[in-house]
Amino acid sequence: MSEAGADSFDLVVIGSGPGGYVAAIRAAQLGLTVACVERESLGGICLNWGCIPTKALLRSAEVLDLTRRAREFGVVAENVSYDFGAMVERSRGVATKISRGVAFLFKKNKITHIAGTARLGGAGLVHVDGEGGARTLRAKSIILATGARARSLPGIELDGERVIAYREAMTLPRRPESMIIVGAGAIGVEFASFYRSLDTQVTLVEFLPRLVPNEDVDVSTELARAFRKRGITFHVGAKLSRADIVDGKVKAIVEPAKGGGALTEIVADVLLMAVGITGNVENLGLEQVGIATRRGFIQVDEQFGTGVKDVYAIGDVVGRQALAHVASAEGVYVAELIAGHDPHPVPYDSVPACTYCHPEIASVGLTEEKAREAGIEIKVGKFPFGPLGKTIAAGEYPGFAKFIWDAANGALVGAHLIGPAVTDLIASPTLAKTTEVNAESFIHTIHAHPTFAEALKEAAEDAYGQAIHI
Amino acid sequence: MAQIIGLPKLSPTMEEGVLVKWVKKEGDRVSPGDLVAEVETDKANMDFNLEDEGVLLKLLVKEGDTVKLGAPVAILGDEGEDISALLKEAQGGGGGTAKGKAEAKPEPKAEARAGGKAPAKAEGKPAEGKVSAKAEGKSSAGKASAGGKAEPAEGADADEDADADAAPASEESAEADKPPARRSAPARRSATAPSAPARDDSRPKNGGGRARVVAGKPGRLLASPLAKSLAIELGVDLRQVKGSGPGGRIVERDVRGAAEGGAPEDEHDEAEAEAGSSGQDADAAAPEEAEPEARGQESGRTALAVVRPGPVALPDLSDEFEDRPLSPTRRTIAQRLTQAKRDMPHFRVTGAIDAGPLMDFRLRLNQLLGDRGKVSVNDLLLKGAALALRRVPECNAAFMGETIRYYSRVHLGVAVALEQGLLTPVIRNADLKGIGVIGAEVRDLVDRAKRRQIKAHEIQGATFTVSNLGMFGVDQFDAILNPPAACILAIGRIQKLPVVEGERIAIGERINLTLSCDHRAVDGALGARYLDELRDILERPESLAL
Repeated sequence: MSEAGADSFDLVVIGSGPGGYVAAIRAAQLGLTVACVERESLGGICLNWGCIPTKALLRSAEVLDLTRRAREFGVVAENVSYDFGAMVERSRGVATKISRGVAFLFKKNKITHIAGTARLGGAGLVHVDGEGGARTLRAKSIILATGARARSLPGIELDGERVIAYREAMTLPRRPESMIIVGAGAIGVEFASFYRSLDTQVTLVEFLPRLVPNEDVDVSTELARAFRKRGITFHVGAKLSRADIVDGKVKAIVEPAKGGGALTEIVADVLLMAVGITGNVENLGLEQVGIATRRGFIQVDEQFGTGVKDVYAIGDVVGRQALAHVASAEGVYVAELIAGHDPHPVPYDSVPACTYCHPEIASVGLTEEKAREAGIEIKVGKFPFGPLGKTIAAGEYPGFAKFIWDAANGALVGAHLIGPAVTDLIASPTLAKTTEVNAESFIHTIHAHPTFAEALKEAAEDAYGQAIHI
Repeated sequence: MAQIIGLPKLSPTMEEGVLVKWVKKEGDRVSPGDLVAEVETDKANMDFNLEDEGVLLKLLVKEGDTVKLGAPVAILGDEGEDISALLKEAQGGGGGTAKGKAEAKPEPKAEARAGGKAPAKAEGKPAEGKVSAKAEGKSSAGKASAGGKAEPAEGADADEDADADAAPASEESAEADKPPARRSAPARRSATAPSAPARDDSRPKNGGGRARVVAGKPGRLLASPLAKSLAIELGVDLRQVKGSGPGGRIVERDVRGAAEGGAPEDEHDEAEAEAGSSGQDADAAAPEEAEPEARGQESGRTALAVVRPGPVALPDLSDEFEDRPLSPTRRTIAQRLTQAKRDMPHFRVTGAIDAGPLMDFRLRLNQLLGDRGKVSVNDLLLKGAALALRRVPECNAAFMGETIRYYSRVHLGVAVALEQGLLTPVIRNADLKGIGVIGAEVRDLVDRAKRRQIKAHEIQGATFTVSNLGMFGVDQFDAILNPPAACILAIGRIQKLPVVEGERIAIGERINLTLSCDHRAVDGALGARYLDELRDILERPESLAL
């Protein structure tokens, strides 16, 4: 193959996170020649600094929590303690292993992995600065899947040591005695949950009036109850107005979100900023080729076109719903589009969202509040996990399942779960919502006994006054 | 354990198939992978291989029958096994549904969700509660048969009708004398279900019996549960709805669209009716308590009258004409070409080439080949058409809505007239292949197309199509585009004509070429340029070797 041929591809994907690598593999499966440019480790934030390593840490916390309760289960475990460094090390090991999995999949699908930083050139050109020097790739199509990173609040700088983001929070050199977490979304409450299990004094600060503000109100209330019980302090409807480093500690000033109320001073070893993300749109050459960004995200049309011919953008850098599985779905969509297929649109109204704090949270569809705002006449059913045989045998978990049906036709409007294993349980409500299984069919479906999933059926039934065990 | 074998999906767009030939007979032992039958789908004749092993205890459809996707075609089991229950099940779908229907007269309460404990009594008011919804899949088959506990509808030739083809909704059965195609859309819509299931607030005693809102035929129609209940609510006939979900599944938005969009497309309606396979609606309302016999008869009649294709189904038509059901291939042709003609704005450019040099070239090639084969004019024209696309790659394109797709490879579709209809086998990378290879491939594909052994992938993916009617003595014609490709080349016969050579008139040989173009992707000048390059190649046929 000639030099020019070696650098010519049907598709060049920039970024190898769950959007980029999935798009690359799907395109390769459909017969395209594909290169994927990654400036860091394969797998992006999700695999290396997000979803996966945090789940490894949370698993350590779960094992610790359970071991401390060993006696309840008739298990003798004396002098239970933990090694923070080993937990972090395990988490890194897990990330590395998964990242190698991506490398394997690339090899299997004959995808060229190019290590380096990519920048768009003219029509169909991608310049890559890598270890081996600069090179230029020719691409018939390009997918931008560069992801996003944590953003901070105006006036507060992330120093990576005392004022940190998620990335540093999972590789701290030692366990902090105390921690302020700004933002009680998924990332915030997961770290709160983890560090609290390690006895860190955790204070959550949330601008909106409740924890996990994107979830159903009932879920927020249940989480608040569980967190309070675990000794996590939180200020909701509150904003961080300053954060200063004083004597090696962070001194934070918190005031009511509306302003005007009393100031609260909180001092902690570290402050974790978890207020949201901003797209990685810099140094990509977007301006030069004429791709528009808005508030740090790339603007795309319905088919993820950027306005520049044959250049698409997917995932967090687009910022529609910053979730790994949404990025993957978008990646598959665009790959199939480029390969000449006619893919089904990404079902944005049926995207499951999972939060892995303890207790876990998972949901799909509209919250009760949103459904009512939308003017949908609804039927709501709820069932706690507590009474289930499986739960009692497993040992007292809080939480519930909540189903919201369209009163007119039994369509699933939303499902909201908090409790044991719900991040896995959400699969069936998601299937029901995506494939339009209505209340009647869902209730008609046998759920195995004893399982946590029984709560789903009972909650679904409860909406129609048919739950058996309540 | 004996099991019912349903018709599998043999092509991506297949919804039904004609069982062309049973390769195995009743009583034959089969192993996984064995070829059991040949089935004509909308695309091509496909092999129907079994994935299980056992003995073919019963073949449920005859050769030539049209079978819906998933409908039972055979029973597989161990030698000597009792299959009477399965036979009933296979047929019960039809019989049971027929019954459910004939008596369909749900009182609102009977339809209420979970009203199962108090099923509606049949009150013999057949014209109410017409519900147009169907269930798919095996479970519904089971349900349907459970619903129709009575003997299989008599006279409803339920044996052959093993795809459980249909029984009409009661309202339609009242008008069953009319040919199905005449059913007017308003009539179809007029009767909506008395109440939608989820609406009723009556507190059910238990959850049983609810799903009976839609009883139906097995494997007919893919629709989500929500789509079905909405169809009942809105009075939409699901058979008239085109599914937009994965695998053509009908989902909520399709039903809402149909409810808002007024009458369904006539084409669709007629196509289905003509094919004689218009399975009627399954429908509502706890049928089991009603008296089976009376119903059995009535439904038997209606099912017979509406369902079966051919003379039986349309007895009162005069003999002034004969309505032949569409073959799947013909239906696909009708649909694609209508779409092409209607949605793709065509224009044509025509030109004549001097065929003299080409004929000489062919003669020299064939002399060279001697006994080793022959090169046809068509082979040369195909090669020329492919090479010209290399010179004018903008004609190797397709309009995609938001983009124009320019193909980097030349996959030449070759239109072939066959007994069963038009097919366009595809010569892949035709620009890279030698004349001999192209000729051999065309002959092989045509030959296999005639024997119906062509594979689906061999007739897909044309980026440019050539249609040559020269052998039928046609001087010149223009062709309808073969979507999505933006161009199709129509070739006439070689004509001897008086031509002007210099200052005198001589006898020359000419071929008329007409390029039809999708104007959204290809403009007139571009089309002209293509013809010009093609003329240049064909008039200096040595170019074909390059």
